[in-house]
Amino acid sequence: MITFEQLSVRYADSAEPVLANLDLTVPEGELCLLVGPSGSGKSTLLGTVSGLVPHFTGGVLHGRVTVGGRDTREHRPRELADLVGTVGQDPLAHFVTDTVEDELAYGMESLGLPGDVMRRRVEETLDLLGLADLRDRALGSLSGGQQQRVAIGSVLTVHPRVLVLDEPTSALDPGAAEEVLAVLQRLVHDLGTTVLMAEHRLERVVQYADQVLLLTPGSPAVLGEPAEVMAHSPVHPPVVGLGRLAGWQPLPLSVRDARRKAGPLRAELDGRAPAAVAAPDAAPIAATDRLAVRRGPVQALRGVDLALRPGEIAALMGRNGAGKSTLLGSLVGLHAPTSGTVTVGGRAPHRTRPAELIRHVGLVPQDPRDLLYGESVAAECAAADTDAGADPGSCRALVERLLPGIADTTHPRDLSEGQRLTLALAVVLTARPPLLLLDEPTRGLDYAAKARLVEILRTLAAEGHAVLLATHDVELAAELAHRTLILAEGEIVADGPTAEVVVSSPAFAPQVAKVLAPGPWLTVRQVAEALSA
Amino acid sequence: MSSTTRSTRPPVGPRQLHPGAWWLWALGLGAAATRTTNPVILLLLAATAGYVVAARRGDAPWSRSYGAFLRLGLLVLGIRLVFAVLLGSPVPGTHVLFTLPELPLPDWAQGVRIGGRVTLEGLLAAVYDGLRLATLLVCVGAANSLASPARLLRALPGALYEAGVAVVVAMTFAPNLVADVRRLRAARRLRGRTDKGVAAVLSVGLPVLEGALERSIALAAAMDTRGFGRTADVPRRLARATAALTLAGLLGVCLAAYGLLTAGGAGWALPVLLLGLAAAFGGLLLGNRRAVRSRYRPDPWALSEWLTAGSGVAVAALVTYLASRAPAAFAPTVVPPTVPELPLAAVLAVLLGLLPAFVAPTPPRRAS
Amino acid sequence: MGRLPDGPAGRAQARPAVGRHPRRAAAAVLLPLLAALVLLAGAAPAQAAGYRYWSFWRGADGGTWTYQLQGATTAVPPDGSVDGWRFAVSPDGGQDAAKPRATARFDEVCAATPAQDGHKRVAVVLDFGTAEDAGSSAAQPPAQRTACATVAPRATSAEVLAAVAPPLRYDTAGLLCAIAGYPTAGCGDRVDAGAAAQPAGPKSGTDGGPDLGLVAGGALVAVLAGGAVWQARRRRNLP
Repeated sequence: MITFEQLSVRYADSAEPVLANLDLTVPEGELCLLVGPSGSGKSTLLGTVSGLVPHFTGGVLHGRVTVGGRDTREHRPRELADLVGTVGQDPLAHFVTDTVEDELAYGMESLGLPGDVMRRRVEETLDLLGLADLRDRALGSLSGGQQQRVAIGSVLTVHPRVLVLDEPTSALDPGAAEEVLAVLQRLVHDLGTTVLMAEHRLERVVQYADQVLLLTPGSPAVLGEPAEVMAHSPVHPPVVGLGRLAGWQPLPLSVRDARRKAGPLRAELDGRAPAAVAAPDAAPIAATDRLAVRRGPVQALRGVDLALRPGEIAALMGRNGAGKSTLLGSLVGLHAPTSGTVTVGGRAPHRTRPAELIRHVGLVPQDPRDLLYGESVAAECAAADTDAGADPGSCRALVERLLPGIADTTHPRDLSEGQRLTLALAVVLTARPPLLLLDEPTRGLDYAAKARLVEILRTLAAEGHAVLLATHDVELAAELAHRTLILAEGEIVADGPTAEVVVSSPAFAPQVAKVLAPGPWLTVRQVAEALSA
Repeated sequence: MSSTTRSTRPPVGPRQLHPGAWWLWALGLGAAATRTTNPVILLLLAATAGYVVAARRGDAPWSRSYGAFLRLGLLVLGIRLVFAVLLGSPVPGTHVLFTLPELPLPDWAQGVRIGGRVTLEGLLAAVYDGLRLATLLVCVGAANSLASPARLLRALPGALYEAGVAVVVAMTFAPNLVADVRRLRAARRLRGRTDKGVAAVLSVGLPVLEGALERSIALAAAMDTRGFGRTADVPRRLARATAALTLAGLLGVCLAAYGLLTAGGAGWALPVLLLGLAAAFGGLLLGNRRAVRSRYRPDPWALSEWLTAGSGVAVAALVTYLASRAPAAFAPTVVPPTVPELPLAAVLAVLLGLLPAFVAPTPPRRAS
Repeated sequence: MGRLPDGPAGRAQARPAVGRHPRRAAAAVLLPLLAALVLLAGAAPAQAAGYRYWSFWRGADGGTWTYQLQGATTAVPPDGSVDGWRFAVSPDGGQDAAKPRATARFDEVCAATPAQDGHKRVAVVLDFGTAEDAGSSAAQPPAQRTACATVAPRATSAEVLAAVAPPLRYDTAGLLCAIAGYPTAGCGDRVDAGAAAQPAGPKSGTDGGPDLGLVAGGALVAVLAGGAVWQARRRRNLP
């Protein structure tokens, strides 16, 4: 269905080609998963299929990409619109109209399909994606999962034979991601659509893939059976890690397959327990007392009690819109409480001068770019030193420690997602706040960047920082957090040691916990340590 | 488009009224408002629009814009009053309410004054004039909350569609920009800088523009992959004829508008306007051949639409007629201040505008 | 929106003709358009035009009139002066406008009005013009009249007028449109020499039916606003 012949892509501003000499064929009706570290050219490869590369992005494309017999070099994206459907990471950037039904019809209108056909297909798609109840809703009022389903539906109505998805679930909470993936699987199984999808969160998707295309910078691309590719892939989900550790053959990709094989491992681990983490019991440095915050018409938080202690890493989880960002914002004084109190370092954050507040609490926002406005890393660091009143060079030293080998002159926008996050973290840490808040830090990070972040945050906690991170990433929480809080409808519905909170929850349990339940294991590392002990 | 490709929504049950009908109705009310300075008639017009909005608006986000326009109207009225108090009103009066200290100005600034006597006549004239503008705004706000401009653009002919989309995208640009400024000002706070004052807003200018640009590019890419801008092959001559007709038509309309607005054009402006419109219309018809777009479930134009649009036109026509027959009641005397009259016929004419509150279909309710 | 008719021959045969046909159509529309423009643009200045408005005069020695260069709101007439007003169709020049037909004699106008301490006396001559000026032979304008105003020393001509000839009508820019309620409509309207003029004469104010009054109007507005609030509440409380 999709053929890449000797494909090489090089952008004008870089010496190295993003993709080099790719020769592949993706057969019709398969779900092909693109995996690889950041910068391995996944998005570029997807772009060549939809025609956005090179027509929209520029750059030089050598070789040929044919989709359904059409050469994408000779057809502009709009001329491929009836053949290829493209959905990106952020559904809101994709929407052109303002209600669900109109959005589903938009692509068909562009193609000039007759009215009765459009009518029929909209109804079919509403049913297929379970959107019938939402048909008249404004797009902005939908949840993240619903928006992503509408975005997928909006390209499905033209009956494309190929669906190209760039990280469709990375912004979604686990429940919403399940919704979207269930839909994709149905498309592949029932309609024979060819799906090409890039996704960092392999634990969510790898079990659905028919083929995995592994892109590694500097080495040739590998296309093969998921289990085979995963056996050697540098990026892999925890269930694969566990399988590799236990030497299971063939390698299980889903929790279900792994559980079938995990009997002996469970027996072996019986009676052992992961090394207990001592809960810090110092006096809290930040606390909220019956905190309620109203944002416009929405009661975002209702009666939240929370205390954060030095040396503690807490994960804040919950579905999109549960109030996680609002809680973080309240702790840095972005939202004034409507009732109740917030205290950080003995102060009410919304009444503290910003220059004073950053010595007590720092927040890395969801998009670290919001925090960076310098022209270069050096300028950014100099500004951070001035803002924080720190000795000149403090920020640069932090950058060097967290992110070795970054040139002074690099523009922050040219950094990878992970590097940018680390730079923002260094900027925030320059003022040495004892409380560090992170909003969705792993969005768009590959496994390597995530592992680095885990290391950095562990070190910071060991140095006595309290860390609170809002995240959808259950694996990250399992790996990192001493304590997990689950927020729903603005209330804390669970608060306790991570192992206790997540193991009992079907939505928030990490893969290892699901495989080894009822054992108290959360991560591959804990299992490895227990086995080697 | 032929009738086979058109499957309009059936005009029964809860549905959205055709956006064109709402805008005609609202513009009719607005046109009526321009014919009078009588505060009671103006308030009646605003209240009529408000009642219809309350009775028939949907629950989409833009439906809440009525309140915003109402506030904007009050703001306009307030500014008009403040100016009348501070700078004096052009309407002279003898009933002095109070006297502000007057700023001495040089001779060349004759005719301008700051401070000085504030008269009842001047204030009344300002209130009447401000109220008229506010009512006009309220009418536009009513149309906006009953049918979003985006829906109105959906009803445009194919040749104008792309221009329409550009307008819609530009309109969503502004709220996004505001959200960006807010977010980046919050980010300034996170870096320990103050988030108050003009400097804070200005310093986020560049990142905001960058963000806006990125978003536009992302949207353009998304629209391109979804087939936006696909055109049918047409002979080059046809394309040229289309462009020539449209251009000539628009030029004619502009010229006619100039003629209508300046003295001396009354004679020739109207025929030129008609010719220009005809040429532009012809251009649009030809242009439709190039557009491959079809339209999903166009809103029908049924009895409710006729009645709604008709009531707006009737209000405008009746008020205009009455204002020319009995001008005194529609332009109440300010010098000396008198109690405005309220002719029964004017009230009845304005109340005709309430018709849509009863004849327009209720919009579909959305579970939310 | 339909497409252009393809003609009876159908689409396949109509195709080659498509290119020629619209161009002819374009020419057919463009040429008359241009011709009309040229004709009309040339014809427009030939029409003599004037404006129907109240012109403002200052009484000079010997009962003659001189054009008042200041506006009524800025001119402050001295004690014993004469303000003259004439409603007429006049060219936009000012000096050439029609003058009040009566003579400007302060002594005659203010003979019966005694001088008061702390006040000035200003004579006002109001000339409502001729039937021709009113623009309609049917409507007879009011007869000329004079008045003597006793006003504060700093009073402007506008205040003098407000004292002796209410009601005055101004437009939003402060242009004086009507004195003593005459004319009832229009303000500095353009009058084309050839065009049929609209009647500017006074009319009865009861054309619009009985006056409901302010209280009834306010009540009506309140009822509508209350209804709107009730509607909004009702909708909010719906499931």
